[in-house]
Amino acid sequence: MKKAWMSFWVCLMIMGSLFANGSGEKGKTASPKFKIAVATIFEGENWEIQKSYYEHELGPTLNMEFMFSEKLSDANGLVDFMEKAYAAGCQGTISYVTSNDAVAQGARKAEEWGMYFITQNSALNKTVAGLSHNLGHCGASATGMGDAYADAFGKLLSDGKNHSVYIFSGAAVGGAIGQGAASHYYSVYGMLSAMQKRYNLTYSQSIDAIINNQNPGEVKTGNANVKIYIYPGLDIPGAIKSAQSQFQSGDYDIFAAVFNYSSFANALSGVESSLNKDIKIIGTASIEAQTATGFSTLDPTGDTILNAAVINPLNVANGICASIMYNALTGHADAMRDNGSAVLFKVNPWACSGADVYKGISKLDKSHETYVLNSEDLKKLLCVNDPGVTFKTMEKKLLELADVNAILAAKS
Amino acid sequence: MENTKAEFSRKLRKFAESRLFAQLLPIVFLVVLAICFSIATHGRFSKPTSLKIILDQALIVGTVSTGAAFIFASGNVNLAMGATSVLTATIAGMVYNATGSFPVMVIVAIGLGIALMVAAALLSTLLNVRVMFVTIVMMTLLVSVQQSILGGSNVSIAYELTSSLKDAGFPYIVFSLFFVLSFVLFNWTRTGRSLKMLGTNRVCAEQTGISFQKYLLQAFIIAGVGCGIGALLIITRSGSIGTGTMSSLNMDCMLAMVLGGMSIFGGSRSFVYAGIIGSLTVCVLNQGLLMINVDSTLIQGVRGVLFLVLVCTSQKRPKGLPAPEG
Amino acid sequence: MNAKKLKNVLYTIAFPLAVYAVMELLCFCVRDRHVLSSMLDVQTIIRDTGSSAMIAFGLSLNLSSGRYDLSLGAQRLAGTIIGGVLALQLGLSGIWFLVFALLFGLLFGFLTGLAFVITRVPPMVLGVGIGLVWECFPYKISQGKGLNLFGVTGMEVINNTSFTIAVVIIVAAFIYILSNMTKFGYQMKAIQGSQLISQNSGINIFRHAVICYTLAGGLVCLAGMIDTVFTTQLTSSLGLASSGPINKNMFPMMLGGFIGIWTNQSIGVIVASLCVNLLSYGLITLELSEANSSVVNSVLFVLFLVFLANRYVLKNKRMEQERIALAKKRRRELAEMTAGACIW
Repeated sequence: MKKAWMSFWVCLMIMGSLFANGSGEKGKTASPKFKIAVATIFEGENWEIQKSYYEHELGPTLNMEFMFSEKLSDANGLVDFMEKAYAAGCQGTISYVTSNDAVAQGARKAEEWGMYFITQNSALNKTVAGLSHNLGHCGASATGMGDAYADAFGKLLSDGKNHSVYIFSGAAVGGAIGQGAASHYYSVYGMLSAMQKRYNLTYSQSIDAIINNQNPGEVKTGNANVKIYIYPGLDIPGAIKSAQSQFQSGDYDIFAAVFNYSSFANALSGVESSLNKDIKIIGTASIEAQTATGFSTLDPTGDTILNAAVINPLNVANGICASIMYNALTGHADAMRDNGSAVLFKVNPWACSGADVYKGISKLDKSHETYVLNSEDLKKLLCVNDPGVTFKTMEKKLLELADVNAILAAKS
Repeated sequence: MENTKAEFSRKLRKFAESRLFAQLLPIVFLVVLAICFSIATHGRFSKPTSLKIILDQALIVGTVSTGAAFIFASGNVNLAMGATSVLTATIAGMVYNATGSFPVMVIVAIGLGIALMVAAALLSTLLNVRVMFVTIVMMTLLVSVQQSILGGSNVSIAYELTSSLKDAGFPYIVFSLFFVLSFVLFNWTRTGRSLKMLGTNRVCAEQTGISFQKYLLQAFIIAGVGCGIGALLIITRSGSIGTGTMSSLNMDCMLAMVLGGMSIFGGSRSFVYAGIIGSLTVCVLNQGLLMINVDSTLIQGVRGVLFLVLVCTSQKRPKGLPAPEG
Repeated sequence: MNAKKLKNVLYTIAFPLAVYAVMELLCFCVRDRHVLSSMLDVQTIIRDTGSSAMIAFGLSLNLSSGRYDLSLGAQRLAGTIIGGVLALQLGLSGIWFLVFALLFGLLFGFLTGLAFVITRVPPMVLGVGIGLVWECFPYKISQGKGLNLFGVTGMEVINNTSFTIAVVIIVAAFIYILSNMTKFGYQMKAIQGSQLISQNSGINIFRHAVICYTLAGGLVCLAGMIDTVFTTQLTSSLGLASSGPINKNMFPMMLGGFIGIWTNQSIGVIVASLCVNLLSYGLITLELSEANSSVVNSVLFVLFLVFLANRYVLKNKRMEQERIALAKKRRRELAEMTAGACIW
């Protein structure tokens, strides 16, 4: 009995502290804020950096408050969260759940409730492009990713020798049709295209078919001196074992990872020591301490662990999406659409060929002054400040942001 | 005066240990939680739209948990219900896409749900593998089979079908029918009574002629029907099944059962409606905590703490440690 | 060494040799490659076996008494990340990471065990609730970053194969001594037989359970830190996704118990971990997808469980038939004797 009462009071105390801390009506401002739901697929440091940008830069600038979801993985999770967000009074949803089905379901639900909806992904879903509350998509540009990787590869392949590549393709399978991760798909597409162009390779299948093979294996390149091995999936321990085994054969000398390249560092260092051979590592990265470490730490052969990276400017997409959402909520939704149809806004990643280049990039996205899109930049994208702003303005801005040197010059 | 106090204390203790208290506590907790959230959100939480959303979200977990009640009543635990439902939904969806026939999809869903659960049951009853181990292996095996079938793709069902099913109230109708059937089976048939007796004291029950294997198999069959119907509700709700769909359904069912007041030891203190009450509680918690802007990472912690607190308050603490599982 | 001991040793070695032979044959025929093609592969498999064995030891401490702790994965996550983050902030390196991971693992294990004996809730159910809570701690404390050891110097000692072997030997010896030469070990065997009788005969089952939970927590965090040092990061996760690495090691744990019939549990678990890792390596060499490898592993595990549960069925049936045949023979003899006496 005593235990039951104690438990009851503990329950009450927990609920009380939650309601005391919960900021349902916290921080009342003079004008009501727009409440925006953010449906995320991320966890970890990357996401905390983005959340900080949402809360400390986007929120105050655009008079928005954000409701963040737990890590979601599919259409069902997105719909669940959107329902809760709608019940909580959210007026818009920024979704990171990229599958076609999730986009379709989310856009339809949003249309039903009169919520605005925008997705961070790289493919336009034509079936729901005509819905009036669908503000389109903003994500890594397919060609941009491909070009960035081609650029990164190009420098490594430009020595005139034959090179063989081991690719950890992550969630690339199904990426083109919005099932896996589109950025992973387009990264691998870029790598395979770069290799094909450089060595005049003749693949036995289309690049799309090669990427969508869910079994790991060697790609038939038509050139015995140039090998390509692809390991798909998210099983990092398995991929590490496979990579180590393949590199130990001496056949491969470049390792490319669409994510989590650092997990392979120790295994590949072991191979480098054993074979006394340098292995080049290229990876998709973001502006964080780990990337700086990769460019500054030396491997057993005296080279940096990370040789080249494709940097995804995560907060660029966040800033653009929030601005588009703000414009829609202030009555300018039509300006953000192309003749009544949703638009795909393309974010171009930055190719980083070495530590020197990264030194400059690493200063970005740390604070108000160094955010690629800070409050001053964001205000120029708002229709309330400039009635001439349309979706073309956003596209133009994104093109400008593809040049990282120009950004660094502007921020310095 | 002291006698009155002692008498009152004794009556209160007796009430707290009674079956009625165990039945009422989860319902009272749910209502109190809803009222607290309504107050904290200035009435937004208790708007009809919000309540309907909670009900819609609770149906899938509620259906699967209602079927699981039969297994729990016998004193066993099955954590693979979610994986079973999702694999069933995947294959049923593929069958619909191949045949275009809704009745065939329903038959395949229910049939496959039963088949998978019976396979698990036979491993324990016929092949003598402990239920706990079967559960753990099936959790991984079924998810892997689904990933193997899907590869990197999803199974998408035509929006026209799913929206017409939703508009026709298919989820509510199907859940209501299954709940009524389960209620009758659990409370007014030999199957339900026998399962509760097995959960209370297996040795005594077997010695009075109640066959553990026979009734466990029946429990798994009913749970399989629940999984099949749950699969149909998954298809109706999201129209798309991928490798991450309802990945937390296994744990959500367990949470729902416990938060709904189901006795984790099984037996006479088991209630078939524990599943739906529990899943409503989970959805109310998730919705309410989000609405009052609790950090999404803390929501899980709060669920865990409340789960433990409810488990402790609603169960009678045994004198010794729980007996070995499975 | 006498004949029986030699036979036991041979039976024990036969398991990994058989697995290796089968996988080598398959890999050679299908892919024209070897399962282990270099010393690096051998070092990796030793490390993986060590880590797997430690998790299997941790599982066995509770599972052999019928307690399946679903929060073990969350304890591994919490202890490794919090211990590692603290060691990083204190500017320590090398072996201190292991020490901190062990200490925090013991702490989380102890708290879980305490919760178990106080609440007396079935372990699986308790594991779900407390696992949800433990997973939040490392996420909040590391601000979502988890533990990142990329570029941290001084970790070479933990990556060293000899060090891993030494740690595994120490752990195996500890488990062996604990199980076979201490009062704790005898109490454990008694509780595995019957918890009620053990309690009635004076064994403090509560203290015993707390100790089991504590040690299990410490062991899984040791394994967690060894893995993390090699892969350089351990990310925080929610939704009880942390139980994956623990569930994967149930097979080595159960197989280890079986192989231990010929030697002892400690050696059995290590040999079983080696077998399962050789199987995994072989499946990777065969270039099976992750999902298909998992299906193969799970099916083999199910088949093994069926074998384990029914391995005496045939023998018992045979003995029963012999008994029936003997009884019939005896009855016939008695009948003949009686008939003979009547004639007289």
